[in-house]
Amino acid sequence: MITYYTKLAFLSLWKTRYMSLLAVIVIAVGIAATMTTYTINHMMTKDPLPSKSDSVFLVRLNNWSPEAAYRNRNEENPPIYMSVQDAVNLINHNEAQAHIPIAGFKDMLKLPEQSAVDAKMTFVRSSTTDFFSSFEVPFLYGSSWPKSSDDSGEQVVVISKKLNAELFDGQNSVGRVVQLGEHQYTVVGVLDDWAILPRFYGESMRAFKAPRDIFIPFQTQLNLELWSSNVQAFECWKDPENASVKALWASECVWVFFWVQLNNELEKQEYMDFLQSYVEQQKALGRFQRPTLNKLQSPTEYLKERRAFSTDSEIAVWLSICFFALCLLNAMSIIMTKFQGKAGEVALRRAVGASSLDLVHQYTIETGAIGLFGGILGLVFTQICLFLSSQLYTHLSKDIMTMSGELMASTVLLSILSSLVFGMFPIVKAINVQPATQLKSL
Amino acid sequence: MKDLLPIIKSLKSNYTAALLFILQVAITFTILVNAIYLAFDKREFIARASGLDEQNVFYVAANLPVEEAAQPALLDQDLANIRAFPGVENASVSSGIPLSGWGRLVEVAVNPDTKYDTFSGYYGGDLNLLKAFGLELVAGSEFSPSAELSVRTEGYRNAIDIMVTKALARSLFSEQWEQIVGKTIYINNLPQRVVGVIDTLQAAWPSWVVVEHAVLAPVKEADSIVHYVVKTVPGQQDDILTQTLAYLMSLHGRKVDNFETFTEVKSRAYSAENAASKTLFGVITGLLIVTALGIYGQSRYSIVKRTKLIGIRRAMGASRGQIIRYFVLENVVLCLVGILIGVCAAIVLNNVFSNAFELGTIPLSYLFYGSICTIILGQVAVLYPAIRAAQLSPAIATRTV
Repeated sequence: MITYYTKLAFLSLWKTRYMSLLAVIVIAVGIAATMTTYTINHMMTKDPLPSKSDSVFLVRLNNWSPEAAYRNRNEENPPIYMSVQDAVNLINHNEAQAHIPIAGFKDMLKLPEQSAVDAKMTFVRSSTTDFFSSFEVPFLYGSSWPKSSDDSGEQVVVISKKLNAELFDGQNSVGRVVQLGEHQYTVVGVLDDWAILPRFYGESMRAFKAPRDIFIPFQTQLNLELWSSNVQAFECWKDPENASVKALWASECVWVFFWVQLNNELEKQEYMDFLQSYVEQQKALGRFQRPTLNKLQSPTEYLKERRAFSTDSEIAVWLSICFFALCLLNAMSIIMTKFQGKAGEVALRRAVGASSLDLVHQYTIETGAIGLFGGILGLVFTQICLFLSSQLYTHLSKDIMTMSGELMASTVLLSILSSLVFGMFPIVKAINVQPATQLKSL
Repeated sequence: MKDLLPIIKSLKSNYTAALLFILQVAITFTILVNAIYLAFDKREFIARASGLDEQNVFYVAANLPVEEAAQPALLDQDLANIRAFPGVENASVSSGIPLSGWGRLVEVAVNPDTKYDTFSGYYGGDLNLLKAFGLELVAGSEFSPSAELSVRTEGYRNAIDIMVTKALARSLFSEQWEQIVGKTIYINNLPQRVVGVIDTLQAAWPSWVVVEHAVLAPVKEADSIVHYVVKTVPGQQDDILTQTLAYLMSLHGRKVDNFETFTEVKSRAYSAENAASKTLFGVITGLLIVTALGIYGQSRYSIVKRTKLIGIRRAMGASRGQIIRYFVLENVVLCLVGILIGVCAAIVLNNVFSNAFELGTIPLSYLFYGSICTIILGQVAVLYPAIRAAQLSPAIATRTV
């Protein structure tokens, strides 16, 4: 029976093809608007590291001036980053599962055999090997550097797939050498495609940009005294002793984001206790003269505090949901018009014995088909809109404009469901005709 | 107007279609008003003046590839050479570039013992910076040549004379802002004398609350990377940029870090707002098309359904104009009811938005113009079906009785 109804439904769709097409297009436009804005908003606010969101934390210590609170706020809040000495100390104490300092600099990058003219100014990220394991970074060739490189500050690099394609034509470049500024580094690993959104670990202003293309051990940056004052945001309440980089490393200037991995509540508690004892120990040495204010912050909490999420995308979602409702109402009136012309057919079928339930079945298949086509067309429109958005939103990473399979399936489902709901009323109205009066006019 | 009663009566007999129509108009109106408001809000944000001569200013960030002690001399030499290019109106060095995200902020206080009254952006450069940016002085005078200093970094600690923007002066001295000239104020708790007030100069961060606050000081910073600011005569910017880059690169060891025209800086600074406002205009266009289609389809449907009725009216002596008037009036009535609901819905939605997202409330004029636009949209969409209806021959009434 279902196949018969399906056949009838498609026949009827074909008979009123212009109206059906109009309904499909209207639904598709609504779906496209909603799903485009929803996708962008979803990608911007989603959990960047679902498997680790409860176990990665930003460590914040209050090493600020005895005279004034950090940034002079009424409600005191510790700096978002920490000083080099604290980062090094926390790594050496080794109390957490993983220690991930986020630092960096910029320098001219080239191959040793290339001339200086070909060198490109490149932003370098410096961290530890834990960065790759904790943030689940995929590798194409090689692997992260060993822990010993972190300790000794070996001159090794991990490069992105993109950079590998530029420098080494995408070949396995493990063991090759690159030159950054005056120093040479051996490639130990090449990353696979990797996009982390929002990129929570660094400056919140750049949370929707792609990660940097080259990574070196944090200790290497410290040992080689690599510092670019105009790249790295840094804040000092007390000047370093002199203008040298070494003095900056030893100063109270804060600029290193410091993340740790703590796998459960217990470990978190223990780490808080450890931080407490660490700060007390440092207090005894004359540092940390403000009230102790240690904080462990999850990525989402940190991004929220820094207001990394623009509310624009959320407003857009709400507006487009209203727009979708409008499109559905529009589709509803089109479907109603369609069914209005069917009064005679309904009467005839009722008269020859079809129950109203049978008719509901048949018409539901028809509106469902409109929803299905609307959803599929909507998906196509959504992809077009996302492509246009990726051209328009140049300040956002292209990876935001991608739809997951789940999202695509739910798009089509949403379309079918909503057209069924909004088609219900026209159907009920259509089958409520009096067979007798309609038959008379046939 | 005597059509009004029959219109309302006929609506009662066909209330579902009418209700659908009203709902559509109401939703359209709600989104339309809110989207237009948001779009114009963004536009206004983008259109704020930076204070600079935006079309004719560019900057180049480069290093000073000599010994630390020789850097100030090289800086002066570079500036003198750039200024000598024909077509360069002025050139200077700056410790920050407005709206580029790169600059410094300082705390400003009127009294030495308060920590700060407000925050401000800070630009340090040579005496020409005011002119190289193309700023306008509204009170006080320019820096005296003796005020110029040269330091390595953090020039705001060394400044003696400064200029402030009118917005900053206002926030410190409210309406008596002109009195700030000659006064000593405290920048990061250090006393500095205000010699002039700049009309407008924005800080480095476009979405900062106090973006209109800026302090300008005649303190050059010969740091590892310096930012040369060049103002050209109109139309010669591209040539001069090429010349400047060629000149800078002619020195061995020179690295050019970055260069941008101020127009580029501004479009980068507002790329998010720009994209958002374009998206909103896209939404508005889509909305209007869908609604117009909807109104057209519905009017057409209601007219087709009433073919016989129209035929009878024509046969009874109604003119074509009367038939058109009937449908147009019906459309207006439905639109008005829709708008009435829409106004309430728009205000509610706007309230929800302004509570949740820190937005302002829609001015009443938007509601007014929105209503007019919606009615016009309805009229345009109904016109063709109504004219078609009027073309119906009276004979149609006799055919299918």
